[in-house]
Amino acid sequence: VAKRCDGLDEAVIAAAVEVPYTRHPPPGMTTRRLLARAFLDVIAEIGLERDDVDGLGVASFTLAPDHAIDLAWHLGVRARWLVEDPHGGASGLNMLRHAIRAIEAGDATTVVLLAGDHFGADDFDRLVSDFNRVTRDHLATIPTGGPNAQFALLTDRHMAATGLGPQDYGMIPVAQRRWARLNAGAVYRDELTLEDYLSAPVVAPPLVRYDCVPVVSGANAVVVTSAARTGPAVRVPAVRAAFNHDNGLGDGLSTGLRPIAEELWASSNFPPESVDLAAVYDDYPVMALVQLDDVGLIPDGDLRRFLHDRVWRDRWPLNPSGGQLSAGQAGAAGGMHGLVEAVRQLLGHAGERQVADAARAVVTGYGMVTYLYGSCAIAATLERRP
Amino acid sequence: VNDLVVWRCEGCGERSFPRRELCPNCASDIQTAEPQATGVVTGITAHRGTSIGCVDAEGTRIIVRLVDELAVGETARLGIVGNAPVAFRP
Repeated sequence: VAKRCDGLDEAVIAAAVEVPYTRHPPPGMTTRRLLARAFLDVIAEIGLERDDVDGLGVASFTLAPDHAIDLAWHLGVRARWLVEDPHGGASGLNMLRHAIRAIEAGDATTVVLLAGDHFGADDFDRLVSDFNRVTRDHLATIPTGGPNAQFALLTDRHMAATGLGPQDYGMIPVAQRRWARLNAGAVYRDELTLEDYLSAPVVAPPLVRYDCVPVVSGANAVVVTSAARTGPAVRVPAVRAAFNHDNGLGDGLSTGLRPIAEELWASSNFPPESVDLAAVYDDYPVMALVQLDDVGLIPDGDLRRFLHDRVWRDRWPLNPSGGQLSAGQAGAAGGMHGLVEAVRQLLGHAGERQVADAARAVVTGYGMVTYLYGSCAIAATLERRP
Repeated sequence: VNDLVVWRCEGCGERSFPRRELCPNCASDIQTAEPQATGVVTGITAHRGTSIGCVDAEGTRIIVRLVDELAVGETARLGIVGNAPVAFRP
């Protein structure tokens, strides 16, 4: 296999799983248990034994005070490569990039990446009010009550800048719900119409219930292995990231994906219009739309036309799991949810919602609000190995 | 009601809120507190019964609790109540 400048050809993704998300997990559920389930499910997917795994990565908000090493001990994994990533919506792809590099460098051969959270009674409120020191000192004191307020203000700015309205943004959650209806793992599968969306209870104006992700407990996992391993697998032609790209001095209406998009596609050797599906980080519809534009999937920049023609009329596979807006956001697992969906689609394991002949995908991660908006952005292109 | 302060960089004059360790513009680590009396309301929302706004305080964006009813475009009086940045009618 020729090694391109990216050097990402030595490793592949061989398996991806999701431990079913639940709104009301059974008593006794813990984050560790969810991560253990994800570990067992993902190695079983391709017939690995625990002792085949020599690298472990984890992203979780609620694993604390435990760290990756404690998890390795609980799982009985003897690792020569160990990573923990606290960057929420960017953690899945960030760990993926580290894992690929580790395999290329010979530091590990078989890496399991885990992401998951279980939220007990007060865990979610504690997470959002103590998200970082700026939140603790300057936002929780108001109290803003989590990121809904910032993204309500951001959506408002986006509306003013683009002229889009609720009937446009609403196409994202409603179109994704059509896909969720085909996904037994999505927590919301009931039919949702644009009329339902437009008359939904307000959470933080202009955001309504269906603009905000349902908080769930759940976990995701992928296996990254040497490309020498035979069998179905997904290549990762390129990963690009931008952290704190504008130092928080902008208006949040564009992400770090914008400055990295050109390099991402150049390294991938295929253009954005050739992807069969996209899994973008949909913490809020406005951010899904901004990322689609920033990463180059809306080449003419006509957001309204993209929504009305591609997403609505053509039912183009945007977040075909239903996305976090319908499938749920299991904390840090939200940063791996889209990756898992894209890999399962490319492997032909997506069941009722399988996108026919899916060969290429793009996945994005976004998030970690530092004050006004998210400061992390990362994207990966994926391709089914022939 | 206490003064709301923004942080002025001694090196280049850039103003920040919240305070950063290093000036985002020139990387100086010396900043001084500067009371900020007013700001223009640029956005309004609400969450769980709390009115929340974004104000532009001479180029620095600050998220505040709206204590009084205010409209986008209005100039608000700023302050700190408890530890929260707040905005009042002038």
